[in-house]
Amino acid sequence: MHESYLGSVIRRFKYHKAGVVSLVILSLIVLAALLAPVLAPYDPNAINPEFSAAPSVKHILGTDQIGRDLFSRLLYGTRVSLLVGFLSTLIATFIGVLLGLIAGYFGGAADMIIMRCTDMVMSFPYILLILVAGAIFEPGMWNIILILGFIDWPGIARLVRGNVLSIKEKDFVHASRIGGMSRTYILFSDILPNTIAPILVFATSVMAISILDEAALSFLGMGVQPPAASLGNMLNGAQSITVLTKLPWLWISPGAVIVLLVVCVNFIGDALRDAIDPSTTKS
Amino acid sequence: MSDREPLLSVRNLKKYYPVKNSAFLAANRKLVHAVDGVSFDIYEGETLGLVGESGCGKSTVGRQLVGMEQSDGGELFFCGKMLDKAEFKRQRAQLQMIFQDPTASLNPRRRIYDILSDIMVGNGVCTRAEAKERVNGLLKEVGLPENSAERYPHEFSGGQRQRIAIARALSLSPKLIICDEPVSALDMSIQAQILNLLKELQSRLGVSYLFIAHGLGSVRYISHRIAVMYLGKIVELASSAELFKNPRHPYSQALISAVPVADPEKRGVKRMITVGEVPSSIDLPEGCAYAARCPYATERCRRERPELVDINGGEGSRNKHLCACFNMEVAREGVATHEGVIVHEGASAREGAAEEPAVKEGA
Repeated sequence: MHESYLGSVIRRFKYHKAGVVSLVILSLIVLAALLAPVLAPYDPNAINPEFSAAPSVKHILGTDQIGRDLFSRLLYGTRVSLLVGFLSTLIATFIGVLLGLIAGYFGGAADMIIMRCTDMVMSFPYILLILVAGAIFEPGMWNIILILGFIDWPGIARLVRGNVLSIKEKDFVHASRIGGMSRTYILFSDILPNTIAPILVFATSVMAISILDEAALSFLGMGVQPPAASLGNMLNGAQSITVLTKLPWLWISPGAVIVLLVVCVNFIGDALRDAIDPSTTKS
Repeated sequence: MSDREPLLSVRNLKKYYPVKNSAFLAANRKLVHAVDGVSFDIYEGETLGLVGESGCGKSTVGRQLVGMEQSDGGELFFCGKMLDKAEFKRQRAQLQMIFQDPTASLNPRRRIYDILSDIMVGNGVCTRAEAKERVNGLLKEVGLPENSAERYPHEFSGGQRQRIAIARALSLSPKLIICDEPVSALDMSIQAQILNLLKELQSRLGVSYLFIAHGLGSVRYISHRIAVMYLGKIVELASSAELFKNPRHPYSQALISAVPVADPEKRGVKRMITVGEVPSSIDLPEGCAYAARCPYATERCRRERPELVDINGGEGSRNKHLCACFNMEVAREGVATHEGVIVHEGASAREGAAEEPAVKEGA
């Protein structure tokens, strides 16, 4: 029987067990982050009388050095990390796809200029770039999103350009040209749909990296500013050796959530790559 | 248009590709002579077969006709008007193409309905509202089941995909379709079906074909006239029957002799076998391009280049039998006396073995 494209994508996605499990876990994390105001037992920034308390019934993940409830902060922090990861990936993908399409399809001077810009952004030590940008603009969540978005696009641009270069010489593109179809049609109906799968897979890895980068920046103090919580600046509090050895609940839970997020996103990317391609026929 | 007026006239078409890294200075840069002055006519409702071995430029000719490649010289006339850039834009829909590999020529991410309707709506053939009906009509015309429209190309077999590609070529009601080896990627049993479909569509719609192929088998079946190409030039052009009955160019003779015969009784019949290599199209020989492999080649062949001459004296280019060979009389004798038992030898090979007769029994 004939099935819709979406139906076949879902069917193929289901064969990727790790992907399905990851999707479930990620959905739970996203849901928890969205429902943070409802789920959090305390105000994430409110100071409680118990300092550095180990996990207990009252504070299921314990409290930090100044007595804030870690579970509540974890929920809000995950919210920030997911938002940063998602939005900066969106920006990076948009820029990368657009520039990659132009460079690959039109070639010549456009290709030359775009690819040299790509090389420049890629060759610059990005931590330095982010630190400079963070110093010029005020550090904060929205700036982090923009900075990461404008730094992560070169990989996608290169990938898209390469795909466009090979796809534009395929016979179905020639057929569209012979049929008098416009450039816009060829770019967005012939070429782009055939490069969506690698873009999506790459975008998931960009998202994983963005989440890590946000954590790293916040850890360095250039990211999300306290008292607002993010997974990164929660780890920031765990820099000293005493915290690492004596108060492990301060860093285990945010660390675990970061690892979980990144692993899930990567598995989902893998599963998507197999699922999107209509010619993969695993019965 | 009168019957005598060709639908498409090709005059002295040329295509040269620069050889990369051959020389630093542009003046010294060498050229591949892919198409080297090709002329022919195609009439309304007619199929012109274009045959030749790989690399002889036959596909390049087809690609130039639909604007996939820029020409480096020569003129095209379509419906009596010269095809310059503006005229080509106006006539673009009239010139369509069917590719060799239907898997590559259909967008794998789009349904058949999208593939067929977009091209029609994009060219103003019909509106979105009418598209559904038009698509179903087209699918019926090429013999595909009605529910095909909602499917993706990978859900079809090779033959069915080629039918879809034919439907797309027909969707703009073109006057001429370039068929670039449309059956060579298909199973033998499917090939006949596709050829029959093309024939049937021609008799129903009056469309003309330029049928490009590397073997004479399928070409003979579908073509009214056949042009034989060798190294960027047409060496012989005649009606299908005439070419098979009375091939005059030694290369055509070799090609015809290479067509497999499905008759076990004729298993013993000797074949002409062409030996030697095709000369490089970068450094074309001074004389006839085929001289190096031709058993009848003389000194003159290696010095001068033979031009296409009409040996039939027929009226109108439709009835002409053109052949470019100095020794076509000898070539005909060769066939007659030895009953097609000829081994073509390269010039160098013959020098090495002067004692051996030029003509010997082939396997």
